[in-house]
Amino acid sequence: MRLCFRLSHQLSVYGAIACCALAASRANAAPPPDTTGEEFRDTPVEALPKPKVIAPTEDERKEPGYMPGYRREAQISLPATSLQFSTVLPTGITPQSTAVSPSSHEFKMQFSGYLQGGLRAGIGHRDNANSQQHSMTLHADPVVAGASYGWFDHTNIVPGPWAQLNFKYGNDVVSANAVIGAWGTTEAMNAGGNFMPNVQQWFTDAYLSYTPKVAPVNLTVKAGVYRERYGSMGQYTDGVYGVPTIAVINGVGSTTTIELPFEGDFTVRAEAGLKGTFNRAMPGLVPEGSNENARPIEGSTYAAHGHLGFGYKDIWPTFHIIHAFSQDDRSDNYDDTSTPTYDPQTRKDGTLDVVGVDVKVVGGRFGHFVASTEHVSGKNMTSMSNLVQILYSGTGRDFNERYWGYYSNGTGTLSIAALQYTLSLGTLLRYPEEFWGDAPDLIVSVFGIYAHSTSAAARPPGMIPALRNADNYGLGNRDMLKAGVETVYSVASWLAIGDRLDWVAPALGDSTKSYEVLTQKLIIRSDWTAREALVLQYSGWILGDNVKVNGDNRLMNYTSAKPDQHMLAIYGTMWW
Amino acid sequence: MKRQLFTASGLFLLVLGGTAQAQSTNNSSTGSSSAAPQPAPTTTATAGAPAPSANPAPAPSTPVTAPAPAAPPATLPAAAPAAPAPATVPASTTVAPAATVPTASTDAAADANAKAAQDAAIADDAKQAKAAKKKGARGTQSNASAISLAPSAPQVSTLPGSVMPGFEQAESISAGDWKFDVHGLFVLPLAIGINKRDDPNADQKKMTLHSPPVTPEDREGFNWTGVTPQPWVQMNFSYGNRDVTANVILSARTVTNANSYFNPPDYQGITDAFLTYRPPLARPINLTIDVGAFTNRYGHMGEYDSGRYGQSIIARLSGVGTNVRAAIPAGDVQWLFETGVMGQIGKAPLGVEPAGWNNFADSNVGSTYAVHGHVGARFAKKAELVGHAIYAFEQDDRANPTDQPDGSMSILGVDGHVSAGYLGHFYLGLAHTSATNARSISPVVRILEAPGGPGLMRSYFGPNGNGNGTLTTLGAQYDLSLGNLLSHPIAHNADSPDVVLALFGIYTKVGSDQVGYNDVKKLKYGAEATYSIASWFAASGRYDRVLANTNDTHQTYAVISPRLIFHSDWNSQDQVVLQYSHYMVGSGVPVITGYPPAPDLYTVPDADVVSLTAAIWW
Repeated sequence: MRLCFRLSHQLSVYGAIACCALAASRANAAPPPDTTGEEFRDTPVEALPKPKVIAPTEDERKEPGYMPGYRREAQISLPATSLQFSTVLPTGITPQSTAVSPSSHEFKMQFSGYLQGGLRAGIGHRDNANSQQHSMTLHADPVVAGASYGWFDHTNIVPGPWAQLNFKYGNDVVSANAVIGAWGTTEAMNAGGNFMPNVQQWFTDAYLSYTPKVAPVNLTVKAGVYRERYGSMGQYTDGVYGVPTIAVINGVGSTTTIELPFEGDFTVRAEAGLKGTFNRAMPGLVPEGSNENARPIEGSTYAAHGHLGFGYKDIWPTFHIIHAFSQDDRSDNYDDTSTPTYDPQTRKDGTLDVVGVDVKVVGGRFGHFVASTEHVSGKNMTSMSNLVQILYSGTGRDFNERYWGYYSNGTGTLSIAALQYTLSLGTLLRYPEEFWGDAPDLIVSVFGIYAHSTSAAARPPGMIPALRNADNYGLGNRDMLKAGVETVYSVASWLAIGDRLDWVAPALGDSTKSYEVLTQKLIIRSDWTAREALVLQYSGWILGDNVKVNGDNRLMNYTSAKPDQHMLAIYGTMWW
Repeated sequence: MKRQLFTASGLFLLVLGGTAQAQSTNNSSTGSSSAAPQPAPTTTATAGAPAPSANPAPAPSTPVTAPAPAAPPATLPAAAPAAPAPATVPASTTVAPAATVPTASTDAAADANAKAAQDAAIADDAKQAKAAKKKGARGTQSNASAISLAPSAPQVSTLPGSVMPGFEQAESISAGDWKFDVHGLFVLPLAIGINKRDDPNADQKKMTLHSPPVTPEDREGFNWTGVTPQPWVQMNFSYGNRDVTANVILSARTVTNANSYFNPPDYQGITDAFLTYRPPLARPINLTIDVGAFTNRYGHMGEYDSGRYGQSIIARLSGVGTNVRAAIPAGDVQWLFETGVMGQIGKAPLGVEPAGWNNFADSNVGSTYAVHGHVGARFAKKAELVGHAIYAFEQDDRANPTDQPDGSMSILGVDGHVSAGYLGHFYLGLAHTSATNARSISPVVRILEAPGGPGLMRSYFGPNGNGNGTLTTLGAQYDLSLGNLLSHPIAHNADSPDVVLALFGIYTKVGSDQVGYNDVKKLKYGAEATYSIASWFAASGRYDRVLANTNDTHQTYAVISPRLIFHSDWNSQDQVVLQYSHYMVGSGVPVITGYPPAPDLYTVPDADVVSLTAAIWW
């Protein structure tokens, strides 16, 4: 470490010497100044009176919590205690429920959380309503395009319920953390007459966090169960689409993060970890709703991952590499003695490799910018569990259904590029005056994700599958794109107006599968920077002829080729 | 009291809402009954005996005004700038008489002195218990009024390195001293079983990896050592004052983000919810009454926990009911009495299909009740001898619709703990279980963690009878701190190197009316040694041997487990354990596998298991 600092210092000295030498050589070689016709020349820029520059005041806050721009925890992934669900609040109104602990040896209990829930109604129509039917149909689980969690076309426009409670006990060196979450509530399920056990996620995370005092190095070791999200498009959340663009790594294991500060605002951050799972669906289990359609063919899966980030001031490019694999013979087929082949050999071990890079720029008054790209390569992933997720697709079945086709056996590639840029005009235009959101503001965001999938397997010629999601038998080489723009105008301390336009093309080149969504939101709150919001939302869809609604086995149970075209929602959110 | 409880619930909600002050205090010593908010020092986890049994040690003659010793305080700070105002206690929460120690004088000052002295005694004893508990040293047991292991005690076996996690409980000193307390335990292992394929193809590796590992371990049977860590998350919430406490325990055998699939029974939810009454008028008799849904464990081999195997030698009773325990001091002897009745809330309905989501419910198990009584004596706070009698029965015509006989189970036992200071802690227990038509007895009663009659049939009596048989069990455990022994009479502090040794074993003789299961003798034993080398590091090793049938060596397996233990300090309440276990398994040892889980003699168990386990408790 000391060597690194010394090297850095020496490099800077050598650099300065080199610059001086270069300047001196140029000075020696310069011709005498030509003053002919000088009266007709413009005044040189350097000779003009310089505008008065207001030097920014020193802006260091000792315990800023998660105030934007003050993130100090050494961690490449999004913290497990940050919101584990896609918030439906517009960009710039970011729930920040997990403030960094104050520096203290005193053991303390901290409690934080997030709630989001409300009423939704998808509005469609019957083509041939009889005399006792209305032509207008109403769906409490809106049957709309882009509502399906985990599919590429998921837009995060439909607000889903989510409740999360974070408990933390510890001091500045060690802490115990537990997260309890649910993506539905029992009363709402009872009202619907459909009890889904897996809605109550219960303890979603439980882990230890060590932050030993080894200054100037910033070291963090985590052990236990925690969700790691890499490539988050938001500064503190998953972003507008509610999905990390590199990967999500679930499971139990350990991760170590080390941050090395160098001279000249240069920082290196490295992170590595190993993850596995507690359980696996045993052969004999019947997939059904109560076990979230578990698949015994998926074996015990493990993931090793490493990340290396280089920070210069507020610019953070980070490289990611992830390798997940399964070598579980319990997923093998049982040998059928009536066949000549040895059946267990028909199953193959699965692997998933991810290589990616993302760049985050915390640009202060110029906003927050994230861009990422990655390449995903899967081989025989049908035998792998949900440990590592790409755009919230994890198992081989997910990839087969959504990208590579059922005939691929989980073998294919997926290349992804994404960006999100968020700018607060209020912050920009008030500079150098500090602005913390407690006055009118206009926040603008642009965002998009492009993906390209390849798969060697395609539907056999002439075969017309008759099963649900029949198209997915023939998926393979495909380009996908979704993009949008959003504005939020904070009119008053109690009111903001949000508008958003989305364009989604699940298959570029086939405009009949594309659609646009226009969304308006009225956001009512108790103050400029309140920690709660009551949102009234309308969304309208302009659909291509072949737009399909996919089921996600969660709240969007219904697969339909006849989506609703309108949605109304009123919901409340609060975080603390 | 009703009004106070409503106040309590309101305060509880306020606390969960992020109140800056989680504790409201109306200090009896001040005699104040003001309605003004009390600027209490938040929820302070004062040191105490393993919850929830506060020690009613007789007050010493010297009045001491010192409060309970400070433990790592569990405060609930304002989690957000917009946090609600601090909780307040209305005037109705008035001061209760400090009638904790009867004295001849009614003078208030004398009462206060006596109260303070008693508090000091409690604090002193709690301090000893805390020191011993944290260190893993032996010789102090302050769980004075309880015969069973406290319901809130962690439902796991001793952690690696002879660490016995215990929960402290906020001590309340008066009726107006309402306190909110949160404690917890996480055990989170990444456990990988390593095996091999006989004939891999080109796309298969020869080495196979299994999580969870495929081992002979059977948590509900005799083949259980607990050496391979299992996931467990537990959080205890309590709110109460000196006289009454509401307790809620949340737990799970998994954590969602580490699941490969959703298995509802692993999400245990609210496992316990009960009230604890401590009537002040009964003192100096320490009378404690639990009412609600909770667990009693009798015959716990550990000093503060359920021991290396995590199995109660006498029985485990879990359900809904009541439990009354009393401790009567008589000189150096303290007489212990405990009695209760336990039942269940629901029953698997006829026609229910056994499936994973209902944990393979058995509708032929009837509503079961257990009555139990225990009498014992504690000598000079060092030795304890207790006799146990438990009778469980069912008379449910839905379980026995035609001519099946009603089932019953009786357990008689005796056990004792010796907390011998520098000589360590020793436990010995003997139990005799007699089951009659226990096929219909529910898991309200568990013998060596076998759930009810069907559990005994699966693990001991044989599957084809009607649950008739006997079980005679002898268990012993000895724990010793060499650092404490060798430094005697100088007190050995926990913040220095130490070697902790442990020996443990269980012997069981089975009587059954089924051929092949009768007169089977089972034995398991082991040893563990832990060398605490530095404040952050300890090396440990454990050896286990399990003989499912002492007359058949094929049914024997052994495990050797070296470990490296990392923690943040000598006395820290956290550890990360890197462990390797090597299993040597006989050909007649089954593996519990499949769906539903069942013994399987054909599955080859993993010979090697590597685990990385994070654990923390507070």
